[in-house]
Amino acid sequence: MTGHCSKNITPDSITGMIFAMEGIKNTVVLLNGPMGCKFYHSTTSQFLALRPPLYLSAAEGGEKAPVDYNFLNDWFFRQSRVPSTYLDGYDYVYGTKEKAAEGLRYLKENVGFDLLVIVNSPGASLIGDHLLETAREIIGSRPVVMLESPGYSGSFCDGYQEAILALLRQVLLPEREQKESREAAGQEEKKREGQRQQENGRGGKENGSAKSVNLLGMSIWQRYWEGDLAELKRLFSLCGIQVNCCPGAGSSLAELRRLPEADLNVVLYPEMSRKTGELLREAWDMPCYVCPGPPVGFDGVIRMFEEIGRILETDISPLREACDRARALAWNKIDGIYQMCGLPDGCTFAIEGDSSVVYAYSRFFMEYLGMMPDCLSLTGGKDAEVSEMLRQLLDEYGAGSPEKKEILDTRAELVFGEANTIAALKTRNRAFCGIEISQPGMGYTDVLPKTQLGVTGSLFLIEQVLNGLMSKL
Amino acid sequence: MKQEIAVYGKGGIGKSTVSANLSAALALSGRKVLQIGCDPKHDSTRLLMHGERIPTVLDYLKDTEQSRASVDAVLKKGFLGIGCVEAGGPQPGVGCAGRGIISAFEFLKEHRAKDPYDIIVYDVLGDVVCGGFAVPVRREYANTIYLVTSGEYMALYAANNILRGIRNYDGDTFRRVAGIIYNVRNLEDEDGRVHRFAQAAGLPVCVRVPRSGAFARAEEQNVTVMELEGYREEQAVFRELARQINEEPERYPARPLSDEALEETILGRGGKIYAAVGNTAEAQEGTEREKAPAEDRPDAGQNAGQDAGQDAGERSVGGAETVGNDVPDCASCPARPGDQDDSRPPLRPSLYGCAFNGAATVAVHLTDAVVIAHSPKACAFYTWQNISSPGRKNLFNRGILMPSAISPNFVCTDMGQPEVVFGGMDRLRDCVREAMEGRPGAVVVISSCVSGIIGDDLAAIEAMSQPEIPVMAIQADGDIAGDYMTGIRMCMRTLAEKLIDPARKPSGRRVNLVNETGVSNNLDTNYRTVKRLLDEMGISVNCRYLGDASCDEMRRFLEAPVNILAADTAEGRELRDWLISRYHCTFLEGAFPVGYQATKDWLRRLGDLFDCREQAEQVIRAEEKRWLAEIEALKPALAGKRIFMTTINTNMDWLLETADRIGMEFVGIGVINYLDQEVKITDHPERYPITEDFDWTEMAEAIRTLRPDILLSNYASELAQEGCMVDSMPMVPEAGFDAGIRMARRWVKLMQRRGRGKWMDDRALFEKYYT
Repeated sequence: MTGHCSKNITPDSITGMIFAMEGIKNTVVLLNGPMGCKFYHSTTSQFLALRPPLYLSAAEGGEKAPVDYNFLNDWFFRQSRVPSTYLDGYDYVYGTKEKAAEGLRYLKENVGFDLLVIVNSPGASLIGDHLLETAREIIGSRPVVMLESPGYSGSFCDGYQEAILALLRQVLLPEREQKESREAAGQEEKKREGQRQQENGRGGKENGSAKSVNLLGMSIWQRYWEGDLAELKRLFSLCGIQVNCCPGAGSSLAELRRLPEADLNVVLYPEMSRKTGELLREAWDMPCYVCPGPPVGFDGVIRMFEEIGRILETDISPLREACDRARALAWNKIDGIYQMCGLPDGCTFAIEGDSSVVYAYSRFFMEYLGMMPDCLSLTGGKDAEVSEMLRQLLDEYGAGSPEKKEILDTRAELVFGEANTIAALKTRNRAFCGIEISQPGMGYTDVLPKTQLGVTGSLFLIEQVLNGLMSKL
Repeated sequence: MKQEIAVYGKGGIGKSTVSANLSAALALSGRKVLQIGCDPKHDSTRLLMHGERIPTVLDYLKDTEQSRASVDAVLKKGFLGIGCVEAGGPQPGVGCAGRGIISAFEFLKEHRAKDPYDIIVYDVLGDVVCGGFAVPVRREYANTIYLVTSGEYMALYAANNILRGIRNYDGDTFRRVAGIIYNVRNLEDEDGRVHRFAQAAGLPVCVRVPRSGAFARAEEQNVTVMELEGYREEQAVFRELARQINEEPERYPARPLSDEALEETILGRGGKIYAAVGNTAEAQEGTEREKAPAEDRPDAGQNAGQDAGQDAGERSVGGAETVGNDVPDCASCPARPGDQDDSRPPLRPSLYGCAFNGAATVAVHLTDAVVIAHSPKACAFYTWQNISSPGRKNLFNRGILMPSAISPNFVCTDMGQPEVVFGGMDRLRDCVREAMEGRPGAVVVISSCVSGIIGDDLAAIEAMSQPEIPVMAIQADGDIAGDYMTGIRMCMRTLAEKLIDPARKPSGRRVNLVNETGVSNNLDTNYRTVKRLLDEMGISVNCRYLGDASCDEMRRFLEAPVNILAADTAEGRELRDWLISRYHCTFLEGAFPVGYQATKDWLRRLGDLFDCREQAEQVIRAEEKRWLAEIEALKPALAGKRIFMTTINTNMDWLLETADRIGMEFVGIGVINYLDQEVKITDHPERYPITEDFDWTEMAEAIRTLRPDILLSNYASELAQEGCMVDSMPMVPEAGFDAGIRMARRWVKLMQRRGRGKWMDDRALFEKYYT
C-alpha cells in the first residue's frame, strides 16, 4: 500500500481543548457530543495517562466518593472528568439544549467541581445551539466556560490555546475586572490597594517576597508532564524564583485567579501559548518571555534561565552549578561509549512534533551530542518565528532540508516521536531505536515521574540516546 | 453600551433595503455605523457600497490561511464611511450556511471588527432556520431587534417564527424586540393585518415604509433612498427610525403567537381569540377570559413609536405563546418520533460508540485498500487511536507485529472550516484521487457527523470507481446511522456486496473466518490459536472476513466450503444469517471455541465436515491429556473454593467447566447487561445460581451474604474486599483449550498470597495529595 497513509492523523484541536481544560484541577469538561468523541478522551487516553477521578459532591465532613464510571450510564463511561451528553441524530435535528441542560443539572447536583467547561463536538458546533446562558443559569455561582467551536482539523496546539484564551476571556478577566471595580468602590480598600502598590511597585505581592513566574503552554497531555513540572519548579527554585501557576497542567482555578500576581509569564511552547502571553500583557500589563521551545539540553536550559534571570534580576549561579555537575556526569558516560565506538558523534536522528519541540530537541542533539538530523517532521503546531530559527539552525550545520523528508522514509538510527510512528517504522523492518517524546506511548506505564526537560531531563535524554545506540556497539 | 441592531424578516421582504437606508440615516445623524449582511446571497451592503461587490468573510476565509487573515480584506467603507461586511455562505444546496454565519461572526469578533463603530446593524436572513442563523440574535450580539414585515400572511408568519427564535434565547421576560418595521405592499386590509399582529404580539409598529418608486430608483442608481434628491416622505421614515434608535427605543419581550392564533389574528377566521394563560400554550376559546391576562402583561401600555398610540388599549385582542420549561404546542415544530405529549423528547438509550468508528475499525482490515475518513481530523484521530492501541500493546508486551493495527491504511480528508461551510465533496474527490494514485485494491469512504449534517452526497463518490479499484461509500454519518456495532454491520455488508464474487464455487479444504471484529488485544492471539488447530488438521484459511483480508481474498470468499464465526455475538449471528441467505454459505456450528469442551466439539464438527475425523481426534487426544494433567495440578490449591462472579460477558462455559472440573463452586453469577442484549451465560443454566440484570450496587451485600473465596469481575479494582481474592476477567477470552486453565493458574498464585497488597490501603493518601 501507500505506506504513508496515517501521516495526516494527529490530535485535533478539540483534543487540545479538552486536555487544556481537564488540566485544571477539579474541573468538569462536559463534552457536548456523541460517545464516539467521548471514547478517546476517556478509555483510550486513560490507558496512556492515568488521571485522577471526579468525585461526588461531598457532604460536610463526609468521605470522598468517586463518580461511578465503570459502566455506561447517562453521562459517564470511564475517566470521569470528561462526561458527555452522548448526542445522536435526533439531537442534531431538534437541538442539544435539552440534553445538555439535563446533564448540567445532574453535574450541579451530584458532582463536586470548581469549574465547568462545555466543549461542543464538531457535529454539535454546526447546529449553533447557544448553551452558555443555559449553563450559567443552571450551574449558578460556579464559573462556566463555553467552547462553542472546537475547530475543524486544527492542531492540538490551536485547540489548547483557544481553550486557555476562552477561560481568560470568559472567566478570569471579567472576574478580575469586577473585583477591581468593587475594590475601587470601597474607599478603605482603595487606600489599602494604593499602599500596596506603593510598596510593591505592582499590585498583589508582599514586599521582599520571591519573584514568581507563570509557565504557559504545559499540558497534561505531554508525555512526561508531571516530571517536567517538578523539574522546572526545582530549577526555578534554584534561581530563587517560584512557579506561581501553570494553566492546563494541574493548577487549580484558585491558583489561576492568582495569575496576575506573577512577575513574569514564561511561554514555554509558543504554538501553545504565545497568544496567551500577549493577552495577559495587554489585559494585565504582565511582561512575557517567549522561549523558542521547551528547555531541552544543558545549553537550552541555561539560555532560558539567563534570559529570565536578566528580566527578573535574579542570580542563576546555583542553577549553573547544578547544570555543570550534570554535564560532568554526562561526559563520563558519553565518553565511555565514544571511546568504544565513536558514538554518538555523527549519529543520525529523526524527530516529529510541534515546531518548538523539534527545534529544542534538534538543537540539543546537534550542538551537544554532535548528531545529524535525517528527518524533522513538523506534524503539529507551527510557530513562524521558531520555524525560522529551525531553518537557521539547519543552515548553520549544513544539514540540508531534513524537514522535507517523510518520517516513515527515515533511515535514522534514533527516532524521537510518538509510539504510533515508532511502531509503524518497526513494521518496515528498520534498524533503529525509537524514543518516545510525545503521546501516545507504546504501553509503558510510568510511575516515577520522568522528564526530558531541564537538567534532569538532559541526563535522561542522554541515557535514552546512549542505550538506543547500544545495538551499534 | 454599543447598540447592536438585528433586522430580521422573511426573505424578499426588503430587509436589505431597510437595513441599508437605516444605516444611512443613522450615519447621517452622526453615528459610526457598521452593517453586517448575514444572508448567504450577500447583497445587503450593495447600496451602501454603491454597487461595488465586496468579498464575503467566508469566501475570504476559504482561501486564506488563518494566521494571515485580516479583517481589512472584508470590511469595506461605504456611504459616509459606513463599515460594510458580508458574511456570505456556500452555494445553495451544499455545505452548511448556518455554520458559515457562526464562523463569520467568530472571525469578526476575533479581529475586533466592531470596535471602531458605535452602532452595528445586522441584516439577517428571513427565517431562523437553525442555530447558526440565530447567532445575531444571541445576547452577546443584538440588543435591539426589529422585525420587517408586510401584511402578507407568510411575511407575518415569518415574523412570528422569528419571535419564537428570540423567545428561545430570552424566555418570557427579557426585552430586546423594539418592534415592527412595516413595509407596505398595498394589500387589502394590510394595515389592519399588521396592526392586529402587532397588538397580539405586544409590539409597536415603529415605522411604516410606504410603497414608493423611490426604492426602485435608488436600486437603479445603486444608492440608498437617503442619497436621492427629493423623496422626503420616504427619507423621513428612516430618519424617524434612526431617531427612535438614537433615543434608545423601548424594548419588549418576544411573545410569539401560536399558529392558530396567528391565523385567527391576521385572517380573522373562526372568531376564536387566543391568549397567554399560565404556563401553557393551549388555545383558549372565549373572550372575557383572555382579556385580563393580556392586559396584565408587564409591557401593556408601553408602546413607543408613531403607531404605538393607536395600538395601546386595543391589546385585548390576540395572545401569545408562553415560555417556560414546557415545549410550546407549536404546530410548525417538526413531529418528534415517539413523543406522545410533545412535552419531552422520546427516551433513547445512549449509543455505544459511533457507526463511523465501527465502520473504520473494520475497514482498515481490508489490507490493500485505502480507508478515507471524510471528517475533521478529530474523528479519524480517535478511531486511529482505537485501532492502533492493541497494535502498540501487542508489539510492546508480546512482540507481535499487527500491521493493520500498527500502520492502518487510513487517511482523513481533514475537513476544515471551508469544507464545513461550503461542502466537502471537492476535498473528498481530491483525497480519493490521491489514494487511487497508489493503485490500492479498493477505496473505502466513511462519513462522519460533520459530513452527514452538512449533507455531502457520499454515494456520489462511488462514481469515481475504476475497473480494478472500486470506491465504496459507507454513509455512517458519525453516530447518526447508529452506534459502533451498526457501523461494523454497515461496513461488513457493504464490503461483501461490493467485493464478493458470486460466480466463485467452493472447493478444497478451506474455511473463511467471519466477524473477527473489535479492538481487543486477544484478536490476533485467537486467530493464531485457531490457525494452529486448523493447520494441524490440514485446513487452510481462505479469507478472514474481516480480520485482515485483501480485496482478492474477499472476491474469492465463496471458494471456501465452510465458514467459521469468530465470536458468537448477536452481531456475529446476524452476519452469519445474512451470508447464508444472500450467498447460501455453509457455517460450522458455533464460533471460535473457547475452553476445553467447546474446542473438542468444534474440532470434531470440523473433522466431520472435511472428512478428517482422525486428524481431529489426534489433536484432541494430545490436548486432552495435557489439559487433564493441568486440572489435577490445580486441585490441591483450588478445590472447594467458592466463586462469586459478575460479568458483562456471555458464553462463560469455558470458565465454568474449568472451575467444575477442579471442584470449585459458583455461589453466585450476576449478569450486568448494560447493553440490554440477549444474554446466555451457559448451556446449563440449571446448574448455576444466575441473576440476570444484576445491579452493580448490590455487590457489597452479595459478598457479605455469600462469603465467596474468589470474586471475579470485568473490573477488579472496584471490588477489592477483605476476606476474598479478587481477579478480573478478559473482555475477549482466549480461544482454544486453555482459556480457563490460564485463569485458574492465576488464582492459585493469588490464593498463595498472604493478605492483599498494602498499596490498596493508600487510596486516602492519594486523595490527600493528588485530588
